[in-house]
Amino acid sequence: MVKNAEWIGRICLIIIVVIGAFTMLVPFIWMISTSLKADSEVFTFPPTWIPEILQWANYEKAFNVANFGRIFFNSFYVAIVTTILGLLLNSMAGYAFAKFNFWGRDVIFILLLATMMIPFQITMIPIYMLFREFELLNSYTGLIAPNIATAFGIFLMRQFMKGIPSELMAAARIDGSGEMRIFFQIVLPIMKAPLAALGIFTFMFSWNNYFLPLVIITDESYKTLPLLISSLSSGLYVQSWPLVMAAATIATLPIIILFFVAQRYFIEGMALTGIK
Amino acid sequence: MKIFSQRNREAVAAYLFILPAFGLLLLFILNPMAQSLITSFYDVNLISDQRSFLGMENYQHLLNDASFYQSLGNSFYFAILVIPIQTALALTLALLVKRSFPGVGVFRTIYFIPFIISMGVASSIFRMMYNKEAGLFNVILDGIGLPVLPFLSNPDIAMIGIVILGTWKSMGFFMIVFLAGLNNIPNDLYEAAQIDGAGPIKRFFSITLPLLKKVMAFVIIITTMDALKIFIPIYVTMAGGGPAGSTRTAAYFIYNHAFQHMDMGYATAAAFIFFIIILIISLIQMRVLRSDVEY
Repeated sequence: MVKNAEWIGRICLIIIVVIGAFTMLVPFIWMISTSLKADSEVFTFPPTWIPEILQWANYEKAFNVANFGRIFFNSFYVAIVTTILGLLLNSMAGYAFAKFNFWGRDVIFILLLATMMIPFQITMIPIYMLFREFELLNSYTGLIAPNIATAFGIFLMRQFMKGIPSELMAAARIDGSGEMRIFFQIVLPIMKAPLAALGIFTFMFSWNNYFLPLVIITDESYKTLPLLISSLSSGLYVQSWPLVMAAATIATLPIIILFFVAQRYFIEGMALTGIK
Repeated sequence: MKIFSQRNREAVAAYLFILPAFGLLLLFILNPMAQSLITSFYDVNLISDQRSFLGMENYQHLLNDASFYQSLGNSFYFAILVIPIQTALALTLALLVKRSFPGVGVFRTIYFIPFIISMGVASSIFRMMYNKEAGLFNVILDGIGLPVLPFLSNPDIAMIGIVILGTWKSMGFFMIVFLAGLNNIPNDLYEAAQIDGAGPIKRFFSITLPLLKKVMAFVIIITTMDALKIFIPIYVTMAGGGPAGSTRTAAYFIYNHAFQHMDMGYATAAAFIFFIIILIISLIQMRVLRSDVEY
């Protein structure tokens, strides 16, 4: 009797979990499904999940809408450069906060953490005016520079670097190594996993970022993917949901692939930052 | 000649290590914050390129601006809806996928995936799905005999559409946070309670919930901050404010005044009031939700 109730409970649980998962996937399924439809099939009743004829040409057409290749490259380039510079600068700062004693350390660190509380709504207008003055609106520098250093990144690296035994550095100093050399040759190589986690977060944040490009980019040729997709969905370039969704699929795919490839680092990094 | 002692040399190295990152944060967060405060006392119009001192005038105007109050009201309305719904669903999901059964990892991943995509793209997908006559959402509702919900054209329910989108997008993240919290609760507590005859509901309310207080506080504070700042779905899904401006939130108000009216002084004043409100709410929440439970 007890056994039966347990089985029923388990089956109910699995049914709920499966229905939940399907619900979560519907927008993705619908995005991909629409991306392969003919325009005339988009809003038919009842909705078709699998298009009658798969319109692979939609992807080719999407590539030819509004400079798509260049915009894809922009997203990629901006995310890569932001990630590389972010890893370097944030881990350098995190290292100093974790392993050095210096005057003002705790005050600077708290000031730094406080920057996490400041919403973009406050900073975006001065950033816009600054870039306007220095002619950095519509530039890669404008898209990259504000997102390199983050309190989150410095905090994350500091947490991990606290675990490095100080004897390691002391020994290297006795051998006459300079501080830069110690950082690059001793510290960074043992920080591969945390660097991977931070790198994935930074890449994802930059790839997905919407607000900064919205504020500082007006020129077609410096737009990034999220901006393009949202302009497409408002019907700016074409009135064709299949093309919009084909573009959305292309924009989403890299980040999902990255997630699956690096899932381990991703979850580890999150577990170490979100809680405690 | 030895000018610096070893100790001083290390301090210099530390400052040099910090300098680049700190310089950027200074340039792009701390200084803009100060600039923002200064700008809020000026009339800065970028179209006519003029700048004149106004004192408190921007703030006085804001306090008499009905549309500003309305936008704050909309932000709060969204937050009040989304916080309980999203948190309850995230916790439910975490409880569901906490036990191990075949394929549990796949389900965790599926619930998490919406979190990793761009809000700009997600908002675009929902814009299509909410389409009044023929979007998937309404076709399904119509198909099973329920009344359609024209999120994009009915001001009374437009915000519900944003709540659905926001919850779909973020609850997987908070599920993972809850999951980590649940895994920190020692299992012997449950075993002891079970021996004492406590049923699953009793166990949830007297063990799980109290011991999750710290995680719960984290989730609620972060959700509140994010919810109050909601912008992208308003701009994209609702095509800038929704039917009859019913989803114009404070973040949208600020963006609109800054980059559509180019009235930077007014927008920064609004941003500052908005920031102070968020700050006060976060501080109150931190106080109220402070947890003394240790285990």
